[in-house]
Amino acid sequence: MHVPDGFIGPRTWLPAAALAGVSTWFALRRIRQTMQAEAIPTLGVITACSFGLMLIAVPLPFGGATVHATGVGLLALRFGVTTAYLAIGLVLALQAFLLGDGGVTSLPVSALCLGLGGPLTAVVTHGLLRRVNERLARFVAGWSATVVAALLTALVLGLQPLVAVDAAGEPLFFPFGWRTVVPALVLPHAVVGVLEGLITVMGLDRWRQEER
Amino acid sequence: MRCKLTVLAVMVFTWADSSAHGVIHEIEPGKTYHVTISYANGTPLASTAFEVRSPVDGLVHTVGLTDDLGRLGFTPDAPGTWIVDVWTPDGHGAHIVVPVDTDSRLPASRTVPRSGGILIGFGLILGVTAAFARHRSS
Repeated sequence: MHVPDGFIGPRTWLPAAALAGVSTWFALRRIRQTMQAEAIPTLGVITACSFGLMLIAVPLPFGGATVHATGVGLLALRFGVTTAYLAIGLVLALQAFLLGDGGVTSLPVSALCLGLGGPLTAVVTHGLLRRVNERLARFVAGWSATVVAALLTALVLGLQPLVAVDAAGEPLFFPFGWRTVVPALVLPHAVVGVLEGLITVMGLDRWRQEER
Repeated sequence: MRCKLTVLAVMVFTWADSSAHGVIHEIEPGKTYHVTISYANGTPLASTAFEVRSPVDGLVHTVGLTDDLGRLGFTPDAPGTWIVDVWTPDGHGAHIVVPVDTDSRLPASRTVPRSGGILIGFGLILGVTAAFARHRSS
């Protein structure tokens, strides 16, 4: 989900940048009001782990693609949606500016899809399933956060041939439609989502043990 | 302690792997420019659609697929900033700026070691949260 520059047109990334800016301002206000000082070192450690996880590519046995875990489920369930959004946004920004993984113009879209869509999905899924089984709920939360973030990214990419074309009708930016990009992006992330679910379960188990 | 060891293990593993997910490229100038594109672990972006745009009118100059080694070539017919876009269906690829001067010599480009960027990234994350913790506790 590290979308390079030149894949997403300004009709998409400009509104996304405005929305991401407002979301970031709101999240910063909220974190200043609610974040307890004792929890911040743990936030730093998990965010650093998220940065590391996104650098470790998992090769898939089909199509030559590689995918990576993100730690988004763990961040969302441990700290909530707004804090997870800021943490993932920071990680994506560092990767774009320091490593060139993902573009600067596509950063707002990536932050909204992965940093906001992923944590929201994790929290909602966990809330729905926790009465059935707590650990199952954590696993599904991690898995679904990854898959939904990939689906949102695929929907944005697949939108480009519809909203950004030249006079001849040729795509100016990402050329593949939803029929191609949705399965190409979502299916690999459904596989790596299993790893994300396990990371969410084990991470929360670990920190719950330390809290006792 | 175990937590710190886990973080250390992640950092070491990250360092060893040095990322396969990012996309890197090399430009070989000449009468015909050759661009080689690969994931950061060296796996080439083979059989991947690419498009080259001219600086003169912004129109498409060359289209095609990269070869098995992730290479593509185009022959610029004007100086300026040429754009090479490479797309994979899963949203990866590259937006490459290729400066072409009048005598087809490529200016030296800035290269930041990836390992240095990874270390700086870890440092910035821990530094930002440490500064925030200090601010909250005071």
